[in-house]
Amino acid sequence: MAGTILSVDDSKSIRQMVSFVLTNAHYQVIEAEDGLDALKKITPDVKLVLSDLNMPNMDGLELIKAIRANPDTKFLPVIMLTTESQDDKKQAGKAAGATGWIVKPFNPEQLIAVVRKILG
Amino acid sequence: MPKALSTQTLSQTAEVKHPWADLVAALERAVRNSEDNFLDLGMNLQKIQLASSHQQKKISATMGLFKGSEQSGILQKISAYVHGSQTRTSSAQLKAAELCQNLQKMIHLVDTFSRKCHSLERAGLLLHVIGTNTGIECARAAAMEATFKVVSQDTIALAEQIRTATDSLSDQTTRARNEQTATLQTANRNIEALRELSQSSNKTTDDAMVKVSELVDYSINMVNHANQLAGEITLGINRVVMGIQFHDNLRQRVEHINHALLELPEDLAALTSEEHCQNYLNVELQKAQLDQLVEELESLYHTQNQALAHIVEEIYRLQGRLGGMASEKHQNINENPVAELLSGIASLEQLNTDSQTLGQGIAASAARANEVAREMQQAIQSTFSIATQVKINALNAIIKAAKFGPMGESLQVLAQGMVGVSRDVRQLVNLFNDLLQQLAELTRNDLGEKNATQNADSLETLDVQQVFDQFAAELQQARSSCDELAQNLERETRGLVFIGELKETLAVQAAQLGVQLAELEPPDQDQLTSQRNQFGSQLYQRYTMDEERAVHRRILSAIPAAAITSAAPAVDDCLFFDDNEPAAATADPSLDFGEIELFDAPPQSNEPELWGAAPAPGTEAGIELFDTPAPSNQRQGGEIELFDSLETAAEGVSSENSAALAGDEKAGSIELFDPPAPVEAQPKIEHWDDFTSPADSAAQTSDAEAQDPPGQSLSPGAEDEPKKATEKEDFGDNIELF
Repeated sequence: MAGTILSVDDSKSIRQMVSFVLTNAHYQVIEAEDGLDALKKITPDVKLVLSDLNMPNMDGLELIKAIRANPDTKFLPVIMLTTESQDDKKQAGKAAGATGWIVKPFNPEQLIAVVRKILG
Repeated sequence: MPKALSTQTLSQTAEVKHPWADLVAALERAVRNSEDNFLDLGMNLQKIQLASSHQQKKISATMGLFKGSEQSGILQKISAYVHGSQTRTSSAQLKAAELCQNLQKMIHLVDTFSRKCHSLERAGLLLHVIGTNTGIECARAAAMEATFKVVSQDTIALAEQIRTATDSLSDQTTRARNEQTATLQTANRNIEALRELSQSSNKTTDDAMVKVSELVDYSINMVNHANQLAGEITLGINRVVMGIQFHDNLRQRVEHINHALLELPEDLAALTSEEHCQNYLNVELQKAQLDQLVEELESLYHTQNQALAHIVEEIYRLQGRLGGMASEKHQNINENPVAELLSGIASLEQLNTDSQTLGQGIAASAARANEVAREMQQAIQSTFSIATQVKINALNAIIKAAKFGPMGESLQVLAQGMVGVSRDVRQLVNLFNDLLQQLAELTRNDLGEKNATQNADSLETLDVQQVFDQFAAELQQARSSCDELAQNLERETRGLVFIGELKETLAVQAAQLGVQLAELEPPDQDQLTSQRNQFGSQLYQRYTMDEERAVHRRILSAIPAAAITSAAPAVDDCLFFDDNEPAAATADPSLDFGEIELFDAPPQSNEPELWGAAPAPGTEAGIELFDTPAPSNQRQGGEIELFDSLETAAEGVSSENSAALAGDEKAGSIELFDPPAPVEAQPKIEHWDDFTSPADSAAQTSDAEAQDPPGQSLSPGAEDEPKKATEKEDFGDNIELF
C-alpha cells in the first residue's frame, strides 16, 4: 500500500468515488462523514486528508484548524475537495493551513496525480 | 455562508408544519432516494473504466509481439533467418560450381594421363621389339647366344610387365574419367536446376516477406489506432464518471433551497408590504433555482445518454478494427501471407540442404578419384621399377657385349635401345607423378569443402506461427472484451432512467412552488422592482455556489434597464455580484470579486456538454496546492511547487513574475499532467453540438455570447490572472496546490 488517505465528505457518493479511485491506485482509504468523525479517525498511518468544505457538525475549515492545532498532525497535508471556487474561500482555506484546493467535479486521474505529488 | 442543514433539523422543521415543510421534505426525499442510484452508476462506470483501461494495456502489449527491441521482434528474426538462408544457399551453389570446375580440371588431367599411357604403351612395345630382335640376334651370336637369349627373355618379360602396368593405368584412367564426367554432367544439371529453384524460391520468399511485413505494419498501425481509440474510450468514461458527481452538487443546492424556504416566515398575513416583497423574491429565487436544477437534470440525462451511446459506438468501432487485425488476410481473401512465408522458408531450407548435398556429392566423387590416383600411383611405381630394371639389364648387356668385342656390337646397339626406352619410361613416370600431384591438389580442395559444414541459425517455423496465432488470440480476446464493455455500458445507459425520474419529481415540486409563488405575488410591482435591486446584497453570504449566483444574475438580467437605474442603490448596497461596480465603491475589498465567472455553468449558457466535463485549459477554477508550511523532511526548498512557476509559451508568463507571486524560485520541476484532450482532438465527446439541433446550437451560442464566458475561475484582480493561469495547468484547471 502506498499510504493511507482520509476522505472526509458528508456526501456518500463522493466518499465512495474517492475511495474507489484511490483504492485502485493502491492507496488505503478511510472515510469520515464530517470534521468530527474525521478527527476520531486520524491515526499516524494517515498521510493525507481530502476534505469537503461544507459539512455538518464540523466543516472543512474547522477541521483544518483542529488538525494544525495538534502537534502530531500539524504537518499533515490537507486538500480541500469542494464545490466552492471563490478565491476568498481558497484564501481562507490557505490561511487555515490547507495544502491544496480541488474544485468538484474532480477528474479521477488528476486526483491520483495530485495525491502522488503530495505523497510521493 | 449558511452551514448545511442536518437531516435532523429538517425533519424537526417538517414536523412543525412550516408552510414549505412538505415541499422541502419532498425535495430532500427525492435527492436522498437518488443518491444510491448515482452511487451505483458511478461505481459501475468506474469498474467499466478500469476494464477499458485494462483492455487498452492488453492491446498495447500485443504490439510487443512484433516490435521487439533491436533484433528480438519476430519480423527481425524472420528477416535475418531468410536472408541468412538465402545467402547460405547461394554460397553453397557457388561452391558447387567451383567444385565442378575442379572436376573439369581433373578430367583434363586424366585425359592427359590417358594420352601418356599410350606413350607408355608404345615404349613397352618398343621394348618388346628390342627383346624380340635380341632373340633373333642370338641365333647369329654363336658364343653369345646364351647372353643374347637371356637378355631377350628378360627384355620381353619386362616389356610384358610394362604392358600390364600400362593396361592397368589405362583402365584406372578410363574409370576415373568416366565417373568424373558423369558426376560433372549431373552436377551441372543440378546446379542449373537449383539456381532456377533458388531464384524462384527467393522471389517467393521475398514476396511473402513483403506481404507479412505489410501485414505486420498494418497490424501495428491498427493496434496504434485501437490503442488510441481505447484511450479515448477510457477518457470518455472518465468524463461520464465526473458527471456522476453532479449528485453532490444537486444535494448542496437543494439543501440551500430548503434552507432558504424554511427561513421564510410562516405567517404571511403578518407581513408588511416590504416583507411581502422580500418573501416573494426569496421564493422566486428558489423557484428559479429549482427550475435550473430541473433543466440541468434534463441536460444531464440527455448528455449522459449521448455520451454513453457514443462510447458504445466507439467500442463497436474498436471491435471492428480488432476483428480486421485478427485475420491474417487483409487485402485478398485468398491470401495467407504467413502460410506463404512459412512455405517459402521451408523451400529455402530444402534448397540449402540440396545445395549442400550437391557439393558433398561432388566432393565424394573427388574422394573416389583420389583413391584411383593412389592405385595409379602403385602402378606407376611398378612401372618405374620396371624401367629401372630395363636399364640395369641394358647396362649388363652392354658390359657383356663389350667383352665379346665386335661380336657384341649388335647387342650393344640393342642395349642402347633398351636404355633409351628406360629413359623414356622414367620420363613418363615423372610426368605421371606430376599429373598425380596436380590431381591430388584438386581432390584435397574438394575434400576440404566436403568437411566444411555451415552451422545455420535455426528458425522454428512453429514459433513464427505461434506468434501470429498468439497475436490473433489476443485480439480476439480484446474483441470479446469489447462486447462485454459495450453491454455493460448499454446496461448503465438504460439505468440512467432514474435521472429522468428525479427530474420529473423535482419538476413537480418546482411547478407546485410556482403555483404558490403566483399566489404570493405582491400587488405593488414598483416596490417589488425596487426591492429586487437590493435583494442580492442581503443574500450574497448565502449563495456561495456558482450555480446559485448565476440563477440570481439571470433574474436580474430580466429586469428592464429603466427599473434598475431609477432606484439608485446606496454606496454600500451593490447588486449581487455586480461586475460593473468599481472596486472603490465597495466598503469591503473582499467583496470586489472582479470578473465573476460561472463554475460549470448550466448547459444552456454553454455549448452543451457533459456536466463536469474537463474544461478547456485556463478557463475554470481548478485544483490548487498551497505552499503550506511543512516539516523539513516533507518539503525541501520548494519541493512542492506552485504551478505558476511553470512557464508556457501559450500563457506567456514570465518566470520572474510567477516566481514572485509564488514565492518560489524553482521552476519546472513538476511533471506536466496530461491535460484533458483538446477539443479539436476529441470533438465527438467534448462538444455535443453534433447531438443538438441547429436551432438549439444557435440559441446556445447566443446565450453564451450574452453571458460571461463559461467555467472561468474567480480572479481577485488582473495582476493575479497570470498566477491563476499557470497554477492550474499541471493537474487541471480545477486543481491548485498552495
